[in-house]
Amino acid sequence: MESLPDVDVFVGNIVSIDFAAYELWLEQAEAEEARDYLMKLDKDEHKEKEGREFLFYSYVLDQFRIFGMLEPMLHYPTMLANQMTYQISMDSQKLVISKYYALDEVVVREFLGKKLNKSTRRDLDEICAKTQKKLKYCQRQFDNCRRIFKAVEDMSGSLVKNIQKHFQLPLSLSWDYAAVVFLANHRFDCSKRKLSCLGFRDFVECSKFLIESWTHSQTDCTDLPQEIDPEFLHDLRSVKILVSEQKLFDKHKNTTVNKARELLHLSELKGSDELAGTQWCEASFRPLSRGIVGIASCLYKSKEIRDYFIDIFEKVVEPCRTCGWDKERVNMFLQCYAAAAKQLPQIEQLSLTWDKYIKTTTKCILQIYKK
Amino acid sequence: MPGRLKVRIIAGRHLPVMDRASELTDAFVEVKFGSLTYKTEVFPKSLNPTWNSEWFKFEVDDEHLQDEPLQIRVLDHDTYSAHDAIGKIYIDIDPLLDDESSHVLCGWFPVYDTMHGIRGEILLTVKLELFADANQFKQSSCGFKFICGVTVPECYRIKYIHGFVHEFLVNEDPEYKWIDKLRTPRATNEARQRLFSKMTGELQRRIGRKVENMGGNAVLGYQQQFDIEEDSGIVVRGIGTAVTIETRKKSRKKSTIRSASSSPDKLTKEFPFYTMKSFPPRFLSRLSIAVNAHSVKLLEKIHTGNSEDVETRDSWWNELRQEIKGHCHALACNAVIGYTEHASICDDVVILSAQGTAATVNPLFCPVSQADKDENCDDHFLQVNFSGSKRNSTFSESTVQSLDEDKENSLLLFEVPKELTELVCPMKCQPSPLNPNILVPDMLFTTVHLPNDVQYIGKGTVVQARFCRSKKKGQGEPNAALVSEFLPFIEYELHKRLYNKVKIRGMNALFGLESKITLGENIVVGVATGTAVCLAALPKLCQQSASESKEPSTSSLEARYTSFTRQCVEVFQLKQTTEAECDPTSNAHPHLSPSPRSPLSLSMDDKRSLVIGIDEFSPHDDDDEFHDLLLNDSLPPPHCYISNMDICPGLNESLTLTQMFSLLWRVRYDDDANDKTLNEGLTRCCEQAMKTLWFRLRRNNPVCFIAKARFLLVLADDDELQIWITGAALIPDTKAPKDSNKKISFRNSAPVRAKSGLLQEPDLAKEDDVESNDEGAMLSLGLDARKFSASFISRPLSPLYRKLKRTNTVGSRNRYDSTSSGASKTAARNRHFSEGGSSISDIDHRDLNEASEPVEITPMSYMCDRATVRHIGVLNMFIIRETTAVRGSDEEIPSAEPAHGTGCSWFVSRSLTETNALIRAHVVALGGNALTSYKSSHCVLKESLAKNEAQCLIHVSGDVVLID
Repeated sequence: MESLPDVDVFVGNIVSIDFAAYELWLEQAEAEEARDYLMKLDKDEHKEKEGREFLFYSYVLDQFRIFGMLEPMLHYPTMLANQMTYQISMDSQKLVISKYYALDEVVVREFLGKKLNKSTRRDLDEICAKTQKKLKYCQRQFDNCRRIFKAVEDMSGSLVKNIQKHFQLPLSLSWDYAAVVFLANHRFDCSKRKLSCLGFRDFVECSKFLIESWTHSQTDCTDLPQEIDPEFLHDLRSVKILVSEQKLFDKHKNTTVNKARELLHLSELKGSDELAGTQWCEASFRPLSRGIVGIASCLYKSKEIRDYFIDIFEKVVEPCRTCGWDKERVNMFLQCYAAAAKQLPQIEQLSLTWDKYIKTTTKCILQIYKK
Repeated sequence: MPGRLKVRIIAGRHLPVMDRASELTDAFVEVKFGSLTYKTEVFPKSLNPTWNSEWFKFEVDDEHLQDEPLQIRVLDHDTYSAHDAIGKIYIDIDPLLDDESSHVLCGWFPVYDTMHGIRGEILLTVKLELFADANQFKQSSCGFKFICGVTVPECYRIKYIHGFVHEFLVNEDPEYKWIDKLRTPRATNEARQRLFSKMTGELQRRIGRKVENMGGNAVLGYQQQFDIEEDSGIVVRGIGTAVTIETRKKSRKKSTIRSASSSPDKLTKEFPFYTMKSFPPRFLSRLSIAVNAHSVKLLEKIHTGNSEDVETRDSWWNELRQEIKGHCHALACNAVIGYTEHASICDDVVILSAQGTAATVNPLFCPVSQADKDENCDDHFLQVNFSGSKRNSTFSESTVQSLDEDKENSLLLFEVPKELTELVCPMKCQPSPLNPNILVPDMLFTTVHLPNDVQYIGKGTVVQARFCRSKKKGQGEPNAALVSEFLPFIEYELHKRLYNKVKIRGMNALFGLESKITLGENIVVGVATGTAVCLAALPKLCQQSASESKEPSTSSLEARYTSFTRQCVEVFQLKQTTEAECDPTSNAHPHLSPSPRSPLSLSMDDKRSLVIGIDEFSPHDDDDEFHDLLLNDSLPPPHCYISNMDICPGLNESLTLTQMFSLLWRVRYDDDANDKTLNEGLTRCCEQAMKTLWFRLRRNNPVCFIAKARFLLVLADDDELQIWITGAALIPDTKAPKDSNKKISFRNSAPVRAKSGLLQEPDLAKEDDVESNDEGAMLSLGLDARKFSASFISRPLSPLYRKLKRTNTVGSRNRYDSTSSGASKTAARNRHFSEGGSSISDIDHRDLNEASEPVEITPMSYMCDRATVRHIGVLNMFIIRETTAVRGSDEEIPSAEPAHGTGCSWFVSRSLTETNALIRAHVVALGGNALTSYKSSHCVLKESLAKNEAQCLIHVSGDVVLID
């Protein structure tokens, strides 16, 4: 008689999930790898070396089978909650879902802002070569994103809440997906070489700022939660005068420098001498202001929106960096710059729009500003 | 009484995509009862349709109500071609016929397709209105309770035990009709399921009639078997014990009991057999030994309506029963208890077996007289009940009044009557250690459960003997003759092994013995399983065995025996005699009666019966293999115990069910291997399967117990052996003693992970606050230490039903996805994200949030730490699952197939999972929350790799109950 069974199945009334095995499965580990890993973990089982391999192997296969059967339902997590085929405790359900949808930041970073379509999926092998992950693993990450993208695409109401509700995800994870969806929807260009120093988190944070302030997503009653407020973008064109009219430009510059000086006094952060303290501000004002205003006035073109990150990087972050500013200083400059503009009568009527733009952009710049 | 059956189809969810283009489904439902069919409207383009149909009404007489299943068929509408079937639902109406029932059934049912498994769910309501009718010529038998349990649920009390009922039906098997060659597998499977369902109903109706004639109102220990005789047809057999029961608390039917029928003429009844395994106090007066009988028959084709076929099979079983009765009389007993029947079929040969335990029962047993006295202690009983140490306390009605007397009686239970000592069997009798004046056997084998008040020492454990013999392939008479020649040897070997295995464990009795002989094309396999214990009333063997083994054996062998026995004594705590003797359950009532030693009665087809007694202790045998066999048995892992009865003897702490499990293990063997290899292989496989099982169960809970372990051996093909093991996994209950009847619902509690120590208390179950519930119908109390929290299964009937009533008018407003074609694209994409408009999904959400409890399934006849409040009905389902794409279907999970497998593990896994899901859905819809006495009896996996096909048959049965 054969010593190994060719069918070896264990089924219980209640599905119990071994999360160690589940994580291995999610990583697309082979059953043999998983067996070896679990065996190493499990030390307390003394002696009986022989046969142990088999026990673990058959255990892993059983667990893998459960996961394989559950997988189609994990694509519609609400279904998992009211289906009747598998009896799983509420806690396990939650954990199973959130682990399934856990984002691999390195992998997802690679396709951020790209169209979530078949051709991107086909190119995943490059990503998997680059990240040293298994292709199937990358595909699952991609498919998760695409599935959520498709599901919430046409839904009205808050983007984050929709994701949270329909995929039963914890809030923070829902935000991550909201960012992925948002970036993909507007096709933000995140893959320029210059941006490669930015991680997944940077983009999530930036998207969060953008979603919160530039879209209507936070209000529950909106039909197009992902759309960037067109009125806002339209109004934003008028800020061009900040650079186009020389008088205004000079006034803006002076006010900014004064404000910076006041701040320096207050904070008693006088460098070696006071003059040097404002020198930096005066010197960089022109290119920075041109950059900031330039970005703002063009945002109404959808092409320009895509380049938002690369623009702020090239026109603001890089010049600041070449001047050797630290984050504090960038922040101070932007604060003064924003406040000074608001004091100009020409901008006053636009102050809401200006605020909306400059505050969010400031946050984004600071997020991606690294030494 | 005729009745009106009303059915309403409310909604569906998670339906499969039937139209690839739109990724949607145009579903409608057919409702069929008898020959009448209704249809709902088509609900276009939705995977979550809402029909809110009218009430479909069927006027039926009760005969049909009992026989026919309600058939629900879900289809996809197709304008141009035939509608595509999505799946079916069979609903047995029987439980609604019960007087105590609400006559309403409501819930989500999985839509089941034999080729694809579960494909979505349908919400429906069934109502039954019965009209009183006193037709004396009626053929029906509505309202009789069928209970699969081998003991009475604690919400009832036995008033009178009438006796054995049996019935069977024969039919042609659709799978083997000529037409099967023409139709699709699905059509055949459905024809089969329909037939099996109908036969189940008819069988119960007929048995009900018999019970009625005997004056009973219920059947206890009901066992239904399907014998699939392939070309010869199909036989459905049912046996049980007719009883009169009454609900505890209010004994309203008091005194209507026919005292006339309790006259001694009872003894003259045809077969004094009882299918229960536990009995009321004072019913048993002496417990004798296990008896069994076999016969080998040749099958011929069954023709529907041919009464000859019926008569032949009737006579076959009657012969067997007569034989058992003969054994029973030879042992000076007047009854056979714990009686079971079993058939094993291979091609045209069938082995019929009957097994039971000879006993003397008190013919004048009538607990009714006691009822009044007991009334007082009933309340007391209900309180103490389930405090853990008390289990089968169902019968503990008797008061302390007769403690001494009872103790005496419990000893008398095992007495060997004087006249028997010099009878047929060479029985070895010895004076009982408790009372030297009473002669008792030195070892006792019985098929019943350990009586409550019997004193025993230490813990019990499962002992299993296996033996197989290869045989030549053959057909017809010669084959049958060959098989019948083998049987006595197999019986002998099994008995010898069991006897010695019990003995070297230092024990002296075996309860719950179940021996099965399975016939294959080229092999005959026998497996006997029982729970061994060390009874205080019988002579202790452990000390003797050590000394006995001295003389003949070599010193090394002797040492091995001694050390094995020592190990057992330690593991099973057989030493602590004195403490253990005061068994906490000794509520003391007279019970079963004593019995002689265990000879084994074997018998042949031709009625030559022989009784063999084996006294020799194995060391006299100089067969080395035999010693190895005995000594290499692995004991359960540390602190873990296993039993094939409801309780693990000796486990006094209170236990909690973790879950019911099934395990299938299939191995291939060499067609022409010799007996020795085969036997070694068989032993190794069973041991390995057990090891795997322990490993799985102990992954989560290092200390766990298995109760009601059942082994099923199946020889489906000529080179494969299937081992099916089912059982209940239990863990020590960690909850504080249940002092008050607080209603607590546990949610979000972490799964128990007691990583060490026997009684470590893992911090589980944060008690949420009392769930205030104005509807009051929720069953949220006492979910003590359930590590499981909330599941999604909608809670029992009434609340859901009520909600539906409240919301069903809203239904039409969610037809959003069917209206315009423009919107349907969106609908298609969001097909699984049903929008808030749907009244049904609102209900889902509410149910979800309310964190309903899981539906429990247990093979035990009660839930260990929860009381059965109501017995709702019996569930008998024959489930067929088939696939024509073992390798390479959508459902396959390649990463989970063993490297050396054939690739059908996913299929078995799915079949078993879906079977459990079907059970749970029925339980919930009937208003229950658990299935007890779960039994899967006809499990076969058939696989044809060449054709890329596999088929799985599972017959499950159990009692739908409401537990608190």
